[in-house]
Amino acid sequence: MSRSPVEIVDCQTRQTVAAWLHDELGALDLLDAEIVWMPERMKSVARMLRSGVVEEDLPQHSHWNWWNKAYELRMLATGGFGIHCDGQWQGLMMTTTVGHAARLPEQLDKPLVYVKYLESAPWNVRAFVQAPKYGAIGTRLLEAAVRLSVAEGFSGRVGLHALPNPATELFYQRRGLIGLGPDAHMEDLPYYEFSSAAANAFLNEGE
Amino acid sequence: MAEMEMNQNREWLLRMADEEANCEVSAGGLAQEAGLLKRSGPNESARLSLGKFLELSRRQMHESLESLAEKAGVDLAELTSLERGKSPVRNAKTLERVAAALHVDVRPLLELAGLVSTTDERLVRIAAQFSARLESVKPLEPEEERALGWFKEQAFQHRSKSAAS
Amino acid sequence: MDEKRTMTLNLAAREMEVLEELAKKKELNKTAVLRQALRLYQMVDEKLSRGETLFFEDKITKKKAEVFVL
Repeated sequence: MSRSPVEIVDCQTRQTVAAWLHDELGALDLLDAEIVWMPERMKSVARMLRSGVVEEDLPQHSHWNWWNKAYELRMLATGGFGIHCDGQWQGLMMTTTVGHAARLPEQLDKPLVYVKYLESAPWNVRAFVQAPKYGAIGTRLLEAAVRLSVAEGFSGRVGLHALPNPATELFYQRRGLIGLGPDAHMEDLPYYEFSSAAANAFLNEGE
Repeated sequence: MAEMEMNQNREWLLRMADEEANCEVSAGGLAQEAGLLKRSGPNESARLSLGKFLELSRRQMHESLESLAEKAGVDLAELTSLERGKSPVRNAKTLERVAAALHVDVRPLLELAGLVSTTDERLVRIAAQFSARLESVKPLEPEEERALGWFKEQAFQHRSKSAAS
Repeated sequence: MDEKRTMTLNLAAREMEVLEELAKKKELNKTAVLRQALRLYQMVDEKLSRGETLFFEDKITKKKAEVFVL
């Protein structure tokens, strides 16, 4: 497995913190993450229920389990990425390079990196905790997806289905991804895509 | 794969962390499979207040929809839809451009539109009071008077005819 | 996994033409095209082995044609 040094942000101190971006996750890595993440998700859910939050308003991806997706890592097309810091997995992402092609007119049908799943550890997510621990996890994983796309010869093209949440969609819009609206083949989740130009502009923004 | 050289700019990173703090950056496949498909859409009355605010601000500047759309560099249909306040606001950039053309801060407008998490609870209350204030004192336009008169005549005349038969 | 191994590939003229056409169409080099093809083959083979079914669907007629094996 290879890894690259990367900085993330400590939300309390607003200082940058050294972390590692791993790019060849194995099944055990996903299991290691879930061993810690699942109980934390459950604790947060219990706290919310006790404080009067109704079940429909819970962040329902408390049911999510990366271990159930571990078998996908056997595929050559699948990329498994994770950010490791402070002895824990802080964010995970799974990508694929087949089965999806670009939809934006200027790059129609060209290959791209499709982000299948992306999640920050529950202690980094405001939906689960009042004071998230680390920030910029999603940004770093999105950056990794773009860099993978460049390395594959896909010129930075990335596609993903966003959470149906205006704030999440605004985040992707601000990064320069174009929304192509709800996708009927993906239960009306909004599809977003980075054009090659916008993806490279995103990389240049952070240089 | 070969080591990735990740971005080094700390200011950019801090800005990204601030933006991410307001939302959950996640990819939808996870949401779809875990059942997270309930849309947390913007509050409809906040959206209506937003629309009214945009309309009145535009009229205060003596701009038509067309002229403001042109000045802001936005699609006329999108601007009209924003002022009507009926549909969810999807495009933050349009709202940002309209705010700039109206010389107002876009941040509260993004919150009313539901495009960012509301951090100011007062804002929602103020928006509701704004709408209520307009509704209670707004005199009818001549065209509205005529339409109302026609409706009363047609609807109630029809009902009294039916009652008589 | 950065270690690369080299293989010499013999292709018929027509196969090479197709490879070059795909490379041009997808804006990839030939190696990248073959890499994508291998990934796709593996993915489809895996799904078929797990008992899933692969279809092509005609967008207009909605008629489905099952793919049994590659």
